[in-house]
Amino acid sequence: MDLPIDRHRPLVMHIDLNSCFASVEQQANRTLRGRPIVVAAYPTPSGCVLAPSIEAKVLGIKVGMRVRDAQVICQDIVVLTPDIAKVYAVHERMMRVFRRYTSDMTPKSIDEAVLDFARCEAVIKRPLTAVAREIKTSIRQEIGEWLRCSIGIGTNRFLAKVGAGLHKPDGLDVIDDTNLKTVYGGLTLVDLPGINTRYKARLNAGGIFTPLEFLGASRETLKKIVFRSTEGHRWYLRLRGLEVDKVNFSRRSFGHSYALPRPTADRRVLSRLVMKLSEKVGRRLRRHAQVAYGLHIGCLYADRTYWHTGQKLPSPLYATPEIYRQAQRLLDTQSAARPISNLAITCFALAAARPEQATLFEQPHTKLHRLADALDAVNDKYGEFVATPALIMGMENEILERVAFGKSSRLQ
Amino acid sequence: MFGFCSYNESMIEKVHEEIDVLVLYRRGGSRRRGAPQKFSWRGRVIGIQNIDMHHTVREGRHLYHVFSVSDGTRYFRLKFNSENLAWTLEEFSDGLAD
Repeated sequence: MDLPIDRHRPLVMHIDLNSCFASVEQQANRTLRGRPIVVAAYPTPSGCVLAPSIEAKVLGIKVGMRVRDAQVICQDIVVLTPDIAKVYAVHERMMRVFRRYTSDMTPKSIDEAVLDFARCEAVIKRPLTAVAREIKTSIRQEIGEWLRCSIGIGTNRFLAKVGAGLHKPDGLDVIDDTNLKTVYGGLTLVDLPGINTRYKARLNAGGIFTPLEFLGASRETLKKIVFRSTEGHRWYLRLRGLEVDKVNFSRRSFGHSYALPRPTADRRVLSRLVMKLSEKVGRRLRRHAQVAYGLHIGCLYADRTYWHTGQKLPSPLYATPEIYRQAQRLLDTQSAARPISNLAITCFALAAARPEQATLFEQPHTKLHRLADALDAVNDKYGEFVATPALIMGMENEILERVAFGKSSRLQ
Repeated sequence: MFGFCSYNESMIEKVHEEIDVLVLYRRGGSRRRGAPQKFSWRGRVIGIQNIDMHHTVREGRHLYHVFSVSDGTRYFRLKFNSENLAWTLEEFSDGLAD
């Protein structure tokens, strides 16, 4: 049976702070306002642009570009590195504003949130567009006058996000059954959130080249021919405005990666980096009171080839030396030592760290775990990396804290 | 072809100097009860026109309040150490490359 487009009142709002990292810098430093600036992972020519300001975007500078390419487009561009504390402060204030309107609020990333008004429809007597305008005003008045956000309103999370992407910056769009086809008619497949080039190729192979053709495809076609999984069924519902994305995923891993400024195959250098990555992953693992029964390591080589391997373990990883030893062991299984440009360590197969099974005789790892907790307490009190393994002394400014593009455990 | 972020580095000057600050503490419901009004730096008194951002940074047990302020044309980053009650000027920019 074919389903029609959802005709209910659109009650899901997606809010996206425009050019978040760059706008926050411009908010703090008014001499940067109105100028093309970029926030990059590193200020070196090969650094990756994380956020161009609205002015830089107008010039054609995009997320993911190298700093050197941005400088070719605009010689005078200002290059800044992320100030995580400042961005988190703005994030927390924004979330406080959003919670005034609904308790059903989900932060989706550092600069995005979804507000669901379904459970408070009875009290939201005015149009949601009025609420959206009020939220924009509150952000400007209470957090910063330079901050702009795009807001989309739809019957589900997908359409709300599509709406938030239609007019940037400072947009406000509602997508419902009256304009859904018109909106799809103006988009390409990769404009749809969740459709990347791989999915696009899959859709093209199934004879689908536009969002309107995607909408017109039958459930059976999507499920059995295009996606060959229930994902096809979910897309069938999603495109019609029916909610399939209101799911809370629990954390399944802790990972950290590092892009080396100079690719290297030097085992001494790599060993120090592995230790620092292990410490960062271990700190997060322990802060969440978890242990990991699996470890994965990934290397991107200077020649752009990729190698990775992972292993499930009989005993849990908790303390940094345990993670380090296992990561080193995995790294040693590389077939050839080629210069590495990006190194990533991920703990998976998580389980609660406590309560630990009491033993009559103290195990060697018990002492190690207690030591890890004690060192964490020292670092909590006196600052990160005050007490560190000797191997990573002097690496304070390497492998800095980053904000993930997607969901992060620090978001609230 | 281009220098190593020369523009950026010359635009925002890292200062890190202890400074004298006049702060006004207000009673009542305002979320920001204490706000810097003026400070002296290199023999000049600078009046703060705008507090464009205030956020906190925790370094171990130390809590710092960071104020990004402007005197109308220039940008200053002031840092208040809530442990020893000292103020430092961390950054300065007049918006010019040189």
